[in-house]
Amino acid sequence: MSTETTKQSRTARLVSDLRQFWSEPWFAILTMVLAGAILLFIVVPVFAVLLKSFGMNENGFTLDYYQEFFSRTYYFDAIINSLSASILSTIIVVFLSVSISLYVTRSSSFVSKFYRGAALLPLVAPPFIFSLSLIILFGRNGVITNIMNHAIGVEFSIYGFWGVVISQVLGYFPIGYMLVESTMRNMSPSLEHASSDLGASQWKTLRKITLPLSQSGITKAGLLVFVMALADFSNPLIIGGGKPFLASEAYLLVVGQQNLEQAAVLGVFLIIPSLIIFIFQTYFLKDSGLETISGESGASNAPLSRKVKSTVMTINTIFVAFIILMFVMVILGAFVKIIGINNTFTLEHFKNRNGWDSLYTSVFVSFIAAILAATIGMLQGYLFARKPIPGKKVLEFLTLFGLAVPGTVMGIGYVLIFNGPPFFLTGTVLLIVLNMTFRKIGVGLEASISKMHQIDSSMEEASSDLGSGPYRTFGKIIVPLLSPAFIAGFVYTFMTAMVSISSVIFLIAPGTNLAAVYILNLAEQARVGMASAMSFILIVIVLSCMGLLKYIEKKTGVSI
Amino acid sequence: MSEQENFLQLSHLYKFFDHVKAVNDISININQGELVSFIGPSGCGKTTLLRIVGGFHQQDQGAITLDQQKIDHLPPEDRPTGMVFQNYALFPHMSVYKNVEYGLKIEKVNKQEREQRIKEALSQVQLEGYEDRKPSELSGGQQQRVAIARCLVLKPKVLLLDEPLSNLDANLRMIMREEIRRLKEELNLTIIFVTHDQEEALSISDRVIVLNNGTVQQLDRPDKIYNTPSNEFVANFVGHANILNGELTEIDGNLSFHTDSFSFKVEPQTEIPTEKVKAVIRPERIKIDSEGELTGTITRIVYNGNFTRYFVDIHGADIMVDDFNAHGLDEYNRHDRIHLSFPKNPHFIVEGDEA
Repeated sequence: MSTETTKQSRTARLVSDLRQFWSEPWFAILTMVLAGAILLFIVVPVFAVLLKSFGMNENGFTLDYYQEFFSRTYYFDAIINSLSASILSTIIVVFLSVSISLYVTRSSSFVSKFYRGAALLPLVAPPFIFSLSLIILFGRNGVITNIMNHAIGVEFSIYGFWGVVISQVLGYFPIGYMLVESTMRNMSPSLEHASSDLGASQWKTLRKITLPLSQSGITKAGLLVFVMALADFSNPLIIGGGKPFLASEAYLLVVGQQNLEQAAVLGVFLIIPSLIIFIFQTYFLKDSGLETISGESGASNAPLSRKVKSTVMTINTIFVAFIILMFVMVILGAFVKIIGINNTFTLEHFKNRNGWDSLYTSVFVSFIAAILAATIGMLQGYLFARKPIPGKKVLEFLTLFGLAVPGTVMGIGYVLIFNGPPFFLTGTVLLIVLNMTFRKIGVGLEASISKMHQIDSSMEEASSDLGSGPYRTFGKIIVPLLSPAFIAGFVYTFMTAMVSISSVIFLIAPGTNLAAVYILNLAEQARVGMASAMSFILIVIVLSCMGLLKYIEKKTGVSI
Repeated sequence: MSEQENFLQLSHLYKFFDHVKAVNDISININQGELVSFIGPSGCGKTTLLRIVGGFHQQDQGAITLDQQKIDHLPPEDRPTGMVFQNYALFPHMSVYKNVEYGLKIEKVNKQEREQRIKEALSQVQLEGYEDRKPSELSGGQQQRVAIARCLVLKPKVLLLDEPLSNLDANLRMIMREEIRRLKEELNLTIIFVTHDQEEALSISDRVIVLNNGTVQQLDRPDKIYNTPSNEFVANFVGHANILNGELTEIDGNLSFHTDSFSFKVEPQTEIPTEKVKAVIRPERIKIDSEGELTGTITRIVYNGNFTRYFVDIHGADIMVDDFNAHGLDEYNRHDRIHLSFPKNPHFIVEGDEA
């Protein structure tokens, strides 16, 4: 009886939700278009990969490709290499993130700003730029390799497992660092003060209070870095020295052998850990329940004691210096004939018609994708936070899932879906834009949902009380208030699209090359000078866009 | 219990933030077993001063001694002070028991004694039975009690309370006021209590220190602060007051206070200031009295439950008069003309006393 009543009331609720949903028809239509797009551009490609791994087409269902996968130690090595490199990179990134965050959250000095700036620097470069500079320094003909060889007769090379780990640490550091830093920053300083008031030394406070309370941020950071490192395929390609890694093998299978089925199997093994982590993060990782209470007068984090400070400063300085050295090598490599061998100044690496074309395409494509992703994220954030949309939890999950899918898998999925009827989109700029957009809309969505939670709904009630309809309220009240979320979505998508590679590399066709892909090709061919020159320009472009945005932020007072 | 005079001594403390003098030459002596409040408007330096005592800020100049020992060079963890934070700062990942145990473990107190002392501290704040709760499962008042117990268990020489009641609702605030007072009496605690609520300060303290712009405006017993404020700032910050500018004149042996609008008789003073003075008259000290020497017109009435405040115009001067509602009914209406009698012994502030 009672279950029946709850069932009835649930049906009644759904009916009333639906009625309310349709009462603003434009929003309803928009929601459905969005839902359709999310399915088509995020969910369907992933399923396509899954089906393909079972050989699903005219041949029907088969496990042959899995059998092939398990019968060859080569693929097993790929799993081991991918997992162990990712785990190592993650541990190192987390350790360094904590060390830098400890310093940065407690000081506003020049040194602190310098650490922070340098730590975030890798964001503006393609993820494989560190492979490039490692090769310049430690490659077979590297600057340091040669010196070592001549001086003490030691021969070594960076190619291989450790080269991949170092490149991944440098490349994915900012993502982990930002999460750890923001958790530490949001922690109420009085907790640490209370600990020291109760007699704890700073080491003790760090161990018993600061680190346990930053646990959720540290876990999130670690998981994210792990997923990104696992999906990384450019570093193994450039500096892996022929060692198999999952993502790079999948790429080589598609490009080299046209073996989409076998590549799909590797894709499935890439996506399983990502999916597990994504679900774990979404449903099981609770916030630590930290509330920061505003109005704490005069409370700021206690400065580090001399002992702690000297330790973290040593670690930070070495690491930051290494990041900067990497960038310096790329810049030097761009302006000399052959770095380490013929160090005469030259601009010849910049005379590269194809390179400039690809840069132009990258800027254009990334800009469109960023506007699309930010707009969709903002709209979706508003609709999801305020409207009674049936099934919105699922839609939100799927949108964020787009962020978790390894780029390689998404790229293969796009090839599978859009290569034939009814779409025929392969090789078009449109498909590249759509790919970049839908892989990143989760960021804009999350930003605007969290912003929406800060906007009291009484704001909209006031607007409608004053006679404004829902669409005008949206345009006049919500859009301006959400603009920081829009800008956040835009900046993130633009920056990542400019340097993204793992997915779009499958989608380019002759004539529509992208800068990051072009640089990767140059690096693979060991054309270090040109690769450096193109990387340099790419970095300058991304940095100047950031500068422009900072300028706009200052002028308009909109915080980014 | 023998109580030490000048148990906590702050002498000539200074603290600058950039160019703001947050604490500007403050010297205070506090006795053992005394509860002293710091009050003042926001930005007056009260919290900064408290944090200097706790060791969270380092003073730029000056010294602090506690129980005859210099403590101003010590980091917070080595000072025998206990701080209760405004947001309580309970460790969210630890139970009540663990929170209270935290400091004892650091002191390496053995397990048996720890248990004993935690039990005692929790019973002092009446939280027996809550040992396994997490802070998030407690009400605001209970969190407050845990924060206090966490300090008490370490037997600090001074307890520092930073606006401890500001996050509680009005009823709970009254209860916690009583609680803190009770604990202080029972355990003979020395307490510094920071608040911006002047009523709270008057009701809870042995002595009150009024701060403004980083300097001490007045340090006195609550009744003295209220009745004999040392300057206009204190008179206005603590309670409400009619502050009248005027001068004292003596005619035929009768002393009167003259303002621009009116005058009234006052008792003979031991010393008659010749310059201009200000008379501070609390609204409740002016009586509505048919025999009163002054008359005025009621311009505004604010009903407050236990008393009614009348704003009375006396020849252009706007005077506040509080009438205790002993009879339960409003007795006067707007525009009524009423007779008032002023107190014969108002408190005078000599002009130029402003710090």
